[in-house]
Amino acid sequence: MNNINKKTLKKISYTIFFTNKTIVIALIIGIALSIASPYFLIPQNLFNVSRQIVVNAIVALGFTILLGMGEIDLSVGAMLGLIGVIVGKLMVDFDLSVPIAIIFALLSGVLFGTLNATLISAFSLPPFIVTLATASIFRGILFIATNMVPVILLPKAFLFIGQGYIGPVPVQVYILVLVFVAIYVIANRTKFGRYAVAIGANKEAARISGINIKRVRLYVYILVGLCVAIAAVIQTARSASAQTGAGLNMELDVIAAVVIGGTALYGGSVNVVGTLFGVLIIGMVNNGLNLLGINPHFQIIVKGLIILFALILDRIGLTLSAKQS
Amino acid sequence: MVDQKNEYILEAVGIRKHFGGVYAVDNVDLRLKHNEILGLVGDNGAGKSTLIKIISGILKKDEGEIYVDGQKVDIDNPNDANNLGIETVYQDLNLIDNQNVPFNIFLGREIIYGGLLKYFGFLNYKSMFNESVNLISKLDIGLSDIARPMQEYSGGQRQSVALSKLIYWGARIAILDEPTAALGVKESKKALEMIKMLKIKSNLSVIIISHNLHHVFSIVDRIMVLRQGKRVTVQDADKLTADDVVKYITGSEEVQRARTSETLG
Repeated sequence: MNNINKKTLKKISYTIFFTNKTIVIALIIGIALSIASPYFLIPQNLFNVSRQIVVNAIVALGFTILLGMGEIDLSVGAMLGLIGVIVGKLMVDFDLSVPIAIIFALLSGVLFGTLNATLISAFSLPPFIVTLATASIFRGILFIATNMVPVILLPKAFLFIGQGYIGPVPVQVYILVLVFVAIYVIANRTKFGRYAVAIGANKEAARISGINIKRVRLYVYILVGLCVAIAAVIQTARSASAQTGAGLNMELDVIAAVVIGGTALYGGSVNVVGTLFGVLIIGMVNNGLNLLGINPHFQIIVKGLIILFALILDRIGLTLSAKQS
Repeated sequence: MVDQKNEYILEAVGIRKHFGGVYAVDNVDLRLKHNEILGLVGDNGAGKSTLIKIISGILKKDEGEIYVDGQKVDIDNPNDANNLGIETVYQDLNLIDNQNVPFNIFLGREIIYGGLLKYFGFLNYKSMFNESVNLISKLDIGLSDIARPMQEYSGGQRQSVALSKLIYWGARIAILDEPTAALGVKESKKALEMIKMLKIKSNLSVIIISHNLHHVFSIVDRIMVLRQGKRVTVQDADKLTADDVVKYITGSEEVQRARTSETLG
């Protein structure tokens, strides 16, 4: 009797951990960091963390639906850098007004997303390779267009997006909330989100059910492009310049966040709320390592380890649910 | 033509499809009568799957014509076939395993909210759930909880969900690809009974593909045999024995082939 109770208890605690693993891990890291560093919990640092994660979070939210569809976009980092330069140059070199420049930034996101999706669909190429190639092209164009010099002297009204406050809350946090709500609704409440998940779970079944896979793919990559464009605007405004290295290696952070958040690596499920916590975990780890004065190069290793950890958790979770059924 | 209109619900005439230099289906005719069950048999690579994929809009034919109710139709994709009342259940059932019954029954044809929300494709979970409950109870399938993911059901239950999806979408012509392949003895029997029941209750015309001749004979009205992309024979089931069918499938006796030419049509 005692033995059985122990077993069910173990099973229940396993289930609780694996269904809420992201929140549990975020809590553990938060507690650990507040013990390790006296500066972690002070409001100024917490605001820092939240501002640092907004850009990653917005890209990761779009990426959640993409990964849920079982595909990937390795060009998001380079795209972010390039769109930052586009929006900066349009305002500084071409004297366009802030709203017009932002509209062009969003259009660029749509265009780049369309490019990725079209290449994948038209030639039946693997998304992994296509977006690796377009990433290289985007970054190259960025280097040529800027001659490796950051775009500076951006208009004040533009900087407000990345540095301003409405009430006590940074402007970018409002934007994040809007993007979060939009992506949450799209993923969980619309036909489009459902089709993306269905394609990720069983492409053949989706096709036979009459779902137009190429069209859904196009919209998903455009959605990612739009998220990247919004993130690029915020990033550029926050650093008051379009840096040539903006978005470098961002893919790694984004994929890590989405997978830690519980979206299946091979598609078939999405967890939009989980992604937010995933981004928070990555953000806290970066921040914590900084606070503790650890060599920044170690941070790269730690990020790699976190991704591996997330993948292994994902796999264990899968095996566990397979055993139960 | 007028006569045929009355007799056949579906006719596929002179269908050809090649992959590379090989004809997977070579000038094949398939005619399905109203409210009959037609068994489609043949060895691996005989062209059964290619033929039904053409009828259900998954593959495009190279040559040939398809008629539904005597009217010539174009079937270029699964939606075209669905709109004509042709619904297909494939061997692996093509269910989304980590999703529940309503998700699967409505996949590709979700109920969405009207008004302004229509343009955003907002899902109406409640009515999809209720419709599914009604359907399951109407067809008398023993599913206790339709909110569970498909992977938690037995093979037979999964099969019956796939079949009820087909009924819900107003199928007049059902194409069933190896409906008993993944099932045990008991569940196979149940599935065959359900197909018979649907034929009668829902006035369904059925094309059934199966390797299991025992299952085929227990349910079909007529049998059509394909070999190497060509139609070898089509006959009333009660005029055939399993041995005959095996001979047609393997082509072991030339005599059979000669006899075939008389019965074609």
